[in-house]
Amino acid sequence: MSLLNRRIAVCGKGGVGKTTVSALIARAALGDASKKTLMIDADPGAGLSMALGLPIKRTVNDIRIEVINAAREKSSDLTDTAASIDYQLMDSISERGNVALLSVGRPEEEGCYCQLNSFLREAIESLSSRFELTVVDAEAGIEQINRRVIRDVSLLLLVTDPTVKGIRVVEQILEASKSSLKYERAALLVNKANSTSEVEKVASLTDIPVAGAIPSSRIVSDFDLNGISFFDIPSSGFIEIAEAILRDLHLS
Amino acid sequence: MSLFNETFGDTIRELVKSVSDISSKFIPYDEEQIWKEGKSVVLKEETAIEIGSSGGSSLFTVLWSDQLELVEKSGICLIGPNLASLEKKASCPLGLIVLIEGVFDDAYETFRLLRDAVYHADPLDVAARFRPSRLDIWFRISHKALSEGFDFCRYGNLLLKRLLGIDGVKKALLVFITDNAELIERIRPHADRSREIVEALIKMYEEMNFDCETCEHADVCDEVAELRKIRDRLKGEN
Repeated sequence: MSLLNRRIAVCGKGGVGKTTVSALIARAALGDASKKTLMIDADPGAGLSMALGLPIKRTVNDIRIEVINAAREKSSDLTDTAASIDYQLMDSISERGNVALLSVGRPEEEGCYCQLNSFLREAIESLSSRFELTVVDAEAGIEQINRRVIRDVSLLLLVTDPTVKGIRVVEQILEASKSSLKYERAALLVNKANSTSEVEKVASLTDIPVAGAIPSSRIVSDFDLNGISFFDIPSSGFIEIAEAILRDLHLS
Repeated sequence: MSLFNETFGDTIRELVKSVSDISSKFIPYDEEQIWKEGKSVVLKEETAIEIGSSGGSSLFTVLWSDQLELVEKSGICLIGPNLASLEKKASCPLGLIVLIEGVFDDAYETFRLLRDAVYHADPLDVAARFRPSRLDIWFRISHKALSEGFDFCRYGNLLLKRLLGIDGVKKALLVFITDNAELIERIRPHADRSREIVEALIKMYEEMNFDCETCEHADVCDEVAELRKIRDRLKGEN
């Protein structure tokens, strides 16, 4: 399957490990120069930046505020504004090898600027179209992705832990996505699964196809605790399992 | 009469004065030597040369005139080393001055078309970005593009092809200034002036507000006769 312009939105309840899964995808992509990968941290908490050890230079929301302030001071038409946004987005990404990170930042704080938000989203989509793979680490609300980041994805990767609450949240996200996000397919990833029976139990509680399960990992929690980049996690059984699942999903 | 006749002439005179003691080269437009276009992004690890902002000083401006004798023929003027001979591979200053001669009926439409021709040129394996409000231009050139012969002449030919295809354009001269922050700063006041004129033009067309008492661009209109003509014409239409 071609990876050209594949876009994945990673969604799920808070705390289930969306950022871990996103960081694992980034880790799997690192080093493959033919696969330029854009990671978009759409969670205001900016956890992905920390997980990857990539600093946030400026967020999309910072750009938005700058554009609003610039428009107050100087006359600028849509073409100039669009060119400036392209410039600033490129200037805002942090990079390691073939992987780039763009942080969306906090939701808009002052006023509603629908046209500007559309501009920013189109600029993000245009930037994304220049990468082979784009991964959006999403906050729980899917509507925010549609409005602020991207309108269509190839894969809606729903992440849950082995809890009923986690499953119900991804089902709600999937339902909401039907009217707010274009996606080619959806798949469920069970994170922090400690046994096959837990995964089977999850599968019995939902109609969403289970793509795989990632076990709890001491390695990840140790690295998280010490603030070490996922890029620097040594290869291990856990990493191999995660990467095999991502390969099955055509993500690595 | 054109919006930029004065700025255009001042810029040309400044350049002519400056290049008398700086190495410069004129390369006529060559449609056989056009760099190809294609969507790409250039990340740091594949970057051979990063030139202009961010980090370096830069200047980008588009000026047009209806006086058809200032530019002898369409082409590229390169002031400073071309890419392959640049010694500094990062934070190197870059200026691009686009000078157009032609006959245009509608100043705003001309402005839009000329700008689009430059912004929307998408050189393959090169990232070219523009920030008009600050007159910034920024290039990341990949190792691949550089090894396949990308330089400012071939990029210039790509822009010239797009610009010369616009109705009314008679001649176009692209002036690239590399690794010369001093010259860029000497040109900057003329580029700033052109930006003020453009901002006044944008305000007239986008906002259709002709209350000169409250307009921050009133002094620009007072000095540029063509802006006053455009204002009076637009007022008459509304």
